[in-house]
Amino acid sequence: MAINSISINKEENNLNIPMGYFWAIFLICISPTVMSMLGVEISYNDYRVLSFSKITESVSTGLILGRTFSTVWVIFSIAVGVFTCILTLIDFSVKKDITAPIVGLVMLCISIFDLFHLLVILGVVNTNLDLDSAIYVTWFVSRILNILLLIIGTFIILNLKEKHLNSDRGKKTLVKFLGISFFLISIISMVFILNLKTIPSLFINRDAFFTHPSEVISIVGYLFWGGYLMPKVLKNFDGIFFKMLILSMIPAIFAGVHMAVFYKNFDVEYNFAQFLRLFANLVPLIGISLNYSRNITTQHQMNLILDQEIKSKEKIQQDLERRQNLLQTAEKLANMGSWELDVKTKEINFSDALYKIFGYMPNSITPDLDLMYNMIIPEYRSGYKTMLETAISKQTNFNTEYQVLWVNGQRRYILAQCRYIQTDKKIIGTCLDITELKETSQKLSQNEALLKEAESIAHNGSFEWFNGIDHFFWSEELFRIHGYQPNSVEITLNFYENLIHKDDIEKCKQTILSILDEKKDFATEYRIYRPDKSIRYVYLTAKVIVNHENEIIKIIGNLQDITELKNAAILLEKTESIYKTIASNVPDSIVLMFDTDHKLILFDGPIITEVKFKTKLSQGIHLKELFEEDEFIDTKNILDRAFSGEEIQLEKDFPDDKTFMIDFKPVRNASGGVFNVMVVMHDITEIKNVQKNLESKVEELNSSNQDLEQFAYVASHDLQEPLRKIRAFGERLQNKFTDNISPEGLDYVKRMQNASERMQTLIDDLLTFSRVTRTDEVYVDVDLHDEFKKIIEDLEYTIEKKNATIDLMVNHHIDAIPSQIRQLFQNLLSNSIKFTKEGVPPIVEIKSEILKGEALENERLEQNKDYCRITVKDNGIGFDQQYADKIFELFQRLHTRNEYQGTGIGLAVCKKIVDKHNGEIIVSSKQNEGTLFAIILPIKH
Amino acid sequence: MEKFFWIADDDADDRMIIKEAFEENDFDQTLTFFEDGEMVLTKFKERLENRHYPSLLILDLNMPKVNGVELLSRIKKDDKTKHIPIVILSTSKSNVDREKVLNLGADDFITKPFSFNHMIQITKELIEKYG
Repeated sequence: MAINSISINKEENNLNIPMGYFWAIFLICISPTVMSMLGVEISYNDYRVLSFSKITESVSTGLILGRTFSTVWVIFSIAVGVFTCILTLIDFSVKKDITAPIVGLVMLCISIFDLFHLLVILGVVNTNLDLDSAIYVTWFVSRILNILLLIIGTFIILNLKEKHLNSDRGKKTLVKFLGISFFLISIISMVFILNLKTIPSLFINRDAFFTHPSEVISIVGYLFWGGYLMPKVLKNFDGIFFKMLILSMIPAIFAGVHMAVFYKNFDVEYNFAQFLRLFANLVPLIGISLNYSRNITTQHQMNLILDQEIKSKEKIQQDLERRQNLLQTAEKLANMGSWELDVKTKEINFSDALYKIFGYMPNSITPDLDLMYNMIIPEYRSGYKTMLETAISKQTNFNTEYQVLWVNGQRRYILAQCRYIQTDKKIIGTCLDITELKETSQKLSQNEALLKEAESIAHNGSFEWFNGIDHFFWSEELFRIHGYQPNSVEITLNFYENLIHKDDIEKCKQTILSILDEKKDFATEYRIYRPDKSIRYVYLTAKVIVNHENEIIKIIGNLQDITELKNAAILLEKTESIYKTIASNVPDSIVLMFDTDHKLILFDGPIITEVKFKTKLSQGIHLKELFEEDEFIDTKNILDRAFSGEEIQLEKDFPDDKTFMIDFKPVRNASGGVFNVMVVMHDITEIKNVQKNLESKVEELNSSNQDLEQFAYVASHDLQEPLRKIRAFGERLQNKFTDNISPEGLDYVKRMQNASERMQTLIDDLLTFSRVTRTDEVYVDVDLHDEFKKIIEDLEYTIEKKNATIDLMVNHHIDAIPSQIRQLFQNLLSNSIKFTKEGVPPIVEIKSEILKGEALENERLEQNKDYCRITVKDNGIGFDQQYADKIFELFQRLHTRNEYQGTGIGLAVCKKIVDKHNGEIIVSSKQNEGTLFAIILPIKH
Repeated sequence: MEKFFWIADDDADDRMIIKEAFEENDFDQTLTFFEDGEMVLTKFKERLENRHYPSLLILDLNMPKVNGVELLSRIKKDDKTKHIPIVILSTSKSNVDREKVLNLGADDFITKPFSFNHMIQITKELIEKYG
């Protein structure tokens, strides 16, 4: 509460003079007159109340009782004046208010003069005038002096310069000056009176009605002072002192009136006039006292108000502190810091929280604008600087985001806001650490992306259906599952009904009805049409959300495209059926399927009842229940190997003389993992028996073949020995004993030699034939052209003799046994030159080409293998095609030895060589039109 | 210097025919006959000097104990004897056998039965060739 608003709740006029005081003073002032009129006489001329012997003797008029009162009033009046002055000076020393001491000094000087007046009354001081005149003159001068000094004082108050009001020293000087001046004026007045010889009749006319007409001067003076000057003073200087000072005009004027009018009639000794003058002095004293009293009261009230204000401010301060704490806590909680930049001085202050946001302890560094810039990582720094500088220069606000780098290398995301405060010429900024928010937001984005990705991968879409508004929210994948671009269509129940497969619509409707009725979570499977008319299988699971009144708010759910699964299931069903059919129809077999827990999951086969296990076969039975302990461990080990991916085949003899071929086959899923093992038990008892027989036969055959080959070799080799001797000694006989043997004997020897030679050829050919399979030579790369060239060179003599033409068009390499290849083609070429028509020179064409097995259309050749086909074509005698197979048999001849020499082994050797090379020899011939041999040999072995 | 040929063959008939072949063609070289390869090796050990080595060796392919191939191989591997020309006799007409012995260092391969002229011609050629 402000002091200005304090008002004293009393009736007041324009000058704010309390009317109560006015009336009280007025009543007191008129009371002597009233009392006189009522006949109260308080003065008595002849009664002396005090006797001053020395004075009485020197003074013509002594103190009488009537004057006693007058004297008392004067003394009181002096005392009041002095006292008032002291109070005003005290007031001045305390408040340094110069107005009151001016009045006080006036009163002091008047009191000094009144002392002089008293001394005149008492006859202590003698003037040149008679006593009555001297008393009145001093009275009058006192009155004039009083009003004069008051007017001077009031003028001074009204014209006080600022320097006097502001400077204590000036005020003191002024007070001293006025005190001395007023004192001097009093002294001068006294001296003036002491030197006064006579007085004009204007001052005293005891016979007239106005005994003292000069009083008019003082009355006019008071009226001027109180009616004109003091109101001005009051306008500038409020206070009870000045108000009472104005009111003091009333007793002063009354005193004048008394003196002017009533002297002759009832106030011979000036008792009333002196009393009124005392009262006139007393009123300012009361005024200053009241002023003090009021000041104290006001001071007290002010103290109270100040107390209240202090308390209020303390409270505000506490509030402020609390708010600051709250702000700090809020900043801390919100990870927000603030700063304040003085635009002019560029001085910047950070809040505690801001230090933390920048990665520092509060007040650990001196805040600085450049420091703040440097906190920001370079890619944001210049942008932020530009924004801040623009905000300063254009007095604008801005918001931005940047990153700061902590001393420990950590990056923090900051949301910054800056406001230009026009009134303070400051920029206030806030920095909000949004790192967690940013990271969370990023994680959220990642999660959303992941969810989308996951939905996309799993063909899994989600939806929300809002009851009442019949609106679906679909995830992007859900649109894709239904064959639509995300958010390309508005989904409602009616719309969706058209997407459901016609055969599933009824089922779906029933489901919806039951949901609306039971309000329970549900799952269903149905088919949908895509816009391209393709059909997809979907599986829907949903959760019904109800309010407290059990009304459906919404349904949230998930829909998975299970088309591939469904197709796979259908395929699996078919596959299982096929499997079962196969398993039950594999002849002489049992098919068992074990899962990873070694439990039997499938079993079938035509002879399922013929094999005795420990326990009867049944679905889910464990392996160990099928076998005895030892056998179980062995079987389990094999099964485990199969589960690790190994394919195992073994033979096992069963007690009842049965033998099984048992296959353990790992069954793999699409990714290659083994999830089952199929055990196929095939009864090979009969096969085994047949095989045993066959093996025994093969053994016999091999043995026989070996014997045969041994025989052939031995025969051909050892038989040569005696034959060679026969020939050798036959030759010796021919050469050495030609003269001793008759011509007939020599002919016999010659025939014997010929027979021996044929025998030799036959044996040689047989030896060659037997060597074809006995050879230990290896396959090497053979240049066919080179081989033919060598053969032609070997046969050069015969070729020349027969005038044969050999047309060689062979240019390929094959893997072969070189000696056998040479043997093969030498035999063929020899035949071509040998079996010629009479008189027709032989022409032999030899060609080669590379062909795929499939192109040769021969079942004995491999389809994908590369073969070299060599053809030897002649223009010889040829033969009937019906003998085409026969000519390759051993000792087979189509001509007599006389026609064409030979053993009938050559082509058999050729056939055997070609067979050994896994090739084929084909002959096509026609009588007298030549023969074509086609030899097909694999390029690689 | 006297030239002498060593002939190893387990067959007595063949040894006789070879002997006749050289006699009929007036060869004056001393012919020494051995019945197996081991005897030839023993003879080499007895004759440690070059001058006692034969001018020509005729070896049968198939002989007991040390056969013609092994004997050929050992003679051709020994620096002291590898210069001696060797002719292999065999009943085999196999080119494989022929190439095998020629690769081992034999100078020629004659198949039994052989003509006297063929053998004498080869022998002469070798004598001329190796001096």
